[in-house]
This record gives sequence, structure tokens and C-alpha cells, in this order.
Amino acid sequence: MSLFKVDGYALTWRLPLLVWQSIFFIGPLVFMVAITFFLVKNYRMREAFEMINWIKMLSRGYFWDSYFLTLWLATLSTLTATIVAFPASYALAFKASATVRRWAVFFLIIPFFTSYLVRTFSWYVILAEHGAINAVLSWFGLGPFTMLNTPFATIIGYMTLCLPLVVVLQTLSLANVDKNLIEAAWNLGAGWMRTVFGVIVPLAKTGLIIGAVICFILSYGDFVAPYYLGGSKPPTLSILIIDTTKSGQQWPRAAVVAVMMMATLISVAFTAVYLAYRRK
Amino acid sequence: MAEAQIVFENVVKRFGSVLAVERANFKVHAGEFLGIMGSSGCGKTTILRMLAGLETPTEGEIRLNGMRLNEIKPADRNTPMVWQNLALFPFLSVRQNVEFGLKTRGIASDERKKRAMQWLDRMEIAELSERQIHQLSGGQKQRVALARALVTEPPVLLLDEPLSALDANLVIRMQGVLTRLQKQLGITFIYVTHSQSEAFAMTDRVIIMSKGRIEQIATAQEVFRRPANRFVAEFVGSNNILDGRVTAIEDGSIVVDTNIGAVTVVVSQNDDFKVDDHVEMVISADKIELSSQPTGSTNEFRCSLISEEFIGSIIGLLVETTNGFEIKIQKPHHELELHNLTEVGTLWFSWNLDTPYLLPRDA
Repeated sequence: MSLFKVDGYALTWRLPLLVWQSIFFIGPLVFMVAITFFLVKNYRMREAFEMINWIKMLSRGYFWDSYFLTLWLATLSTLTATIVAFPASYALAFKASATVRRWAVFFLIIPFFTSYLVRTFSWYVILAEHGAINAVLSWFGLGPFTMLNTPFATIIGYMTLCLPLVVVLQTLSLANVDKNLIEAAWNLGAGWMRTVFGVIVPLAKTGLIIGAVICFILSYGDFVAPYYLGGSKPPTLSILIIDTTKSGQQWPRAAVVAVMMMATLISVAFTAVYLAYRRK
Repeated sequence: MAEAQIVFENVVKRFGSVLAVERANFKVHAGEFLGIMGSSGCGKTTILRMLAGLETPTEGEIRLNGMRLNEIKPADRNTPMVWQNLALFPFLSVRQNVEFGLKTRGIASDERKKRAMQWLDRMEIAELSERQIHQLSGGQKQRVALARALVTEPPVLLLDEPLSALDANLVIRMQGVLTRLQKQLGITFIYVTHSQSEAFAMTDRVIIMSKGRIEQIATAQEVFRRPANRFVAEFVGSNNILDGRVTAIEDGSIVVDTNIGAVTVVVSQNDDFKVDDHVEMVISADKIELSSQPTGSTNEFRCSLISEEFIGSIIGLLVETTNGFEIKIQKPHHELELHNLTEVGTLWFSWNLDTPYLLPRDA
């Protein structure tokens, strides 16, 4: 028995994915890690193996400001999306007919047909000082409120990106919950709250966590919402990458930021998937 | 006399245009083991679900201990159910599953644990208390489901085909467990099943349903020997049903012209037959005598054997009369062996004058 026995059939089917992942994910990732040790002289990148980029970036307060801001915004976005989506998903999964649910999922996918940038700019018009919301509020003698260039606007942008997706994922996982178990909970005296949080949520756990983690990943890496709606002060990590490459062609230092982002995302995603599929 | 524990009064249930339960009227007494039997889609599960509050009756009233249940939410009735697929919570351990009904009633953790363990012990699975559900066998899951339902000490336990997923061996064992449990606890069991053997083996009374209608409510014995109508007679499966016309009325008996010939039947004084009346008579397969020689008795017919079916110690025989009509006969194995009956080409079957049961004519 050989440990390296090759199953030709399985390999044939897996090969396209392996090749794709190697060329477009693992290869660039290795290259990006390598770049973090390169040096920039006279605006040109030189191959080297120096720790200077890591030391410079990780010792700067602005890096950590951005790091924790990004982490906080992505977490807030994940919580907001999960909480806001849940009642809608619950209603679609349990109160709507199968036909309504199919149409709803379809309409939730439609926004993805348009460019995210366009959707973000439409919020610009709505949230601006003389935008739609303030115009309506002024009829009641309220406002104007500053909404653009605030974390609030960033979260609005993130919701544009994530919310439909989270609703779809939550709906699909909730709709798959065994109705018998819900009835069993009622039958054993569970009220609405206990049924939802003690039975339905644990049963739909996998889908709910996957929805949340996708929202986290999208928000964490997004630069459109924090840049155009949030005002990028302080910048999130993705904006910091842009700023760093622009100032003095510091690709190696941008790569340090990118590697830190990857490491964070991988650990968050790994923990989430572990929690999602954990079977006691 | 005190009212029965459970009362269904003119209960109707419609799902859209589908009539699931048509005017159900029956009473269940405290401590009774009631079976509800019928083929799938006959409305038996709907009756159970209405009792648990999982369906609301379209019309009529359901009462438990004199209290109207219709508007009471399922969570506020103490009518636990054992489900066909058991519906155990996969994310909870065995003990946590059993504790669930106590937790919803706000019972403290220590007390919950104590009572759950008592029930697991009673179901002989105390050692499995910390296991996860997916680690259990079918029979063990069954016991968890029972413990979970009974831990709140309900006045009535609802069982929805709980044994249908088990293999034959285990079914017999669980029947024993259920019957014993019901006797010990003295609470009402309402048991929905499509299996006649389960219903007849365990219950005090059975409700036979068809297409949403209650066809008969009686003891197993009565359903078997005195079916209320043709549906029940056929449903029981081991009955021969002969259609016929009364041709002569003698003192205390009538002669009926049937598909297989003239049959003489003893009738009671209450039966008021006239010549030319249409009658349906039921003859139980196990009450038919079989011999290799004509015996000269009144209701005797010649036949030939078509097939035999081994049902444990009983053999089910299918014979054909000279005019091509098929008759079911059941005989103990040893009796057939004794007379070598299945080796003979031509046979005679007969029954006593009082064997045929005449179906009520208004049915």
C-alpha cells in the first residue's frame, strides 16, 4: 500500500480546480508574500530579503488604526446584516409560499446585475447633505443630517453589497429546517422566542454562519463603500493598500497590509467554518 | 357521570377544498389506549394534530377534561407527541432532549436533570444520557422520544406511527414497552397507525377511518367480528364478503342466494327481513371449516385450492368455488398437516349457520 497511490479518475475531475487554484490563488499568494521582503529604491522594486517593510508597517500607529477600524466595521456590518436579514429570511422561509420564496430569491439576486459602484453612487445622491433623505426630513422641519462621510454611510454601503446575499443564504438554510422539529418544540411547550432561538437558529446554524462570514469577507475587503460613502478618514485596510502603492510605489509595504488582511480573513473564515460544521 | 377525558364534537377539518376530517364525533376515556387506524390520507394524523394544536379545526369543538382546546396554542396544552420520524433535536444530547419540555416550563436545572435521568432510567437508556442523537440506534431513539414526551407527566400521549421505521423484531419489543408503560402510568394513549397488527395488539378501542370519515369505533374484537360496514369488513382483510338476495324466510333463519350458492343464516328476532332484500354477509376466514370429504352440513361448497400463504403458525388459503368465486380461509398449520388438506385436489368448505355476520342494512 502506497501513501502516494494516485486515483486517476478522481484526479482527472479535480485537476481543473487544482490548476485554477494553483495559478490564480496559491501562486500569486506566494508571490505576494515574497514581495513583502523586497525593497523599493528610486521608485523601483528590487528583489531582496529584508524585514524592513514588516517592521515599518507594523510599528506604525496608522496601520493598527486602520486594522482595527476595518475589523470593527466588518464586524458591525456582519452583525447588522445578520440581524436585519433574519426577520426577512424568517418570513420568507416560514410565512411565504414556495412560489413567493422563489420570486423573492430572484429579486434579491437582481441587484447584482448592476455594478456595485453604480449602486454605491446612488446612495451618494440619497445620503448627501441636499440629498433625498434630508429633503424629505426638511418637510417635517428636521435636519439636515450629515450622513455622508460617516461610518453610518459605510455600513449602508456594505449592506448594499451584502444584505441581499445574506438574506438569500439565510432563507435557503431556514427553509431547509425540518418543520417537524419546530412543531416538536411547540408541542413540548416552547414559545415563539425559544422555538426561534433554541431550535430554528441551531438547526439553521450552518447557513446562518456561512451568510455572516461571506458578509464579513466582502465588507472587510471592500474599498468602494468606505472610500466613496465613508470618507476614508481614517482609511480602511483596502484604502491603505491603495494609498501605500500610490505614495512612493511602496508595493512591498502594501503587500504587508494585504498579507495581514489575508491572515485575518483566513483565521476568521476558518473559525467560522469550524463553528458552522461542528457536531458535538 | 363525568365527561370523557377527550371529546371530539362535530369536528371538521378542511385544507382548502380538501376535506381531511368529516364531522368526527367521539370520546376517549381517561386511561384508555385508543388506536386510530386507516390507510394513508384517511385523516388519522390530522385528528392527532388537531388534538396537539398543530392544526385548528375548521368546525366543531375539541375538549380535554371539559376545557375547550380549539383556541389553545400547542405550547400551552400538555399533549406531547411521539412523531413518526421521532423529531429529536439533533443539536442536543439525549438528556437535553428529554429536559426540553421541562425547560420550557421553567423547571430549575437540578430538578430537570433529576427527572430526565429518572425517565431515561425507566426507559433503560440512562447510560446513553450524554450521547448525541446521531450516535443512537433506531430503538434507542424511540426510547428517547418516549422519555422526552412523558417527562412532563402529561394526561395524554399522542403517538403518530412511532414504530413504522423500526424492523419487525423491534416493533414487537416496542409494542410490549408501550403497552406496559400505558398500564403502569394509567394515562391515555392515542396511537395512530396504518398497521392492523399494531392497533389490534395494543389498543383498548380502535377508530377505523377512511377518506376523512370515522367508519367504526369499537374494540379490536368487535371490529374483527362485527364490522360496522363493508369498508371495515374489507379493511380487516381476513373477511369474505358475500352479496346476496333473500329468497326464503324460515323460522329464525333466512336463505340467501349468493355468488357461491344458497346460504342459510340464523338471524336474530330483531332482524326484519323480507324476501328480495339485499344483504351483505361477512364470513371470517378463520371460521370456515375445510375437509377433504363432503360432510353433509347445510352451508357446504365444493372448491379447489388456488394458493396458500404462510403467516406464522396460521396458513392463509385461497380457494375457488366451482363457479369461480374466491374464498379466503385461515387454518392453523398443524390442522392442515394433520389432514394433508393441501395435497388433495378437491376440498369442501363449510361454516355454521350462525357464522355469517350480516352487515347493518343502513350502512
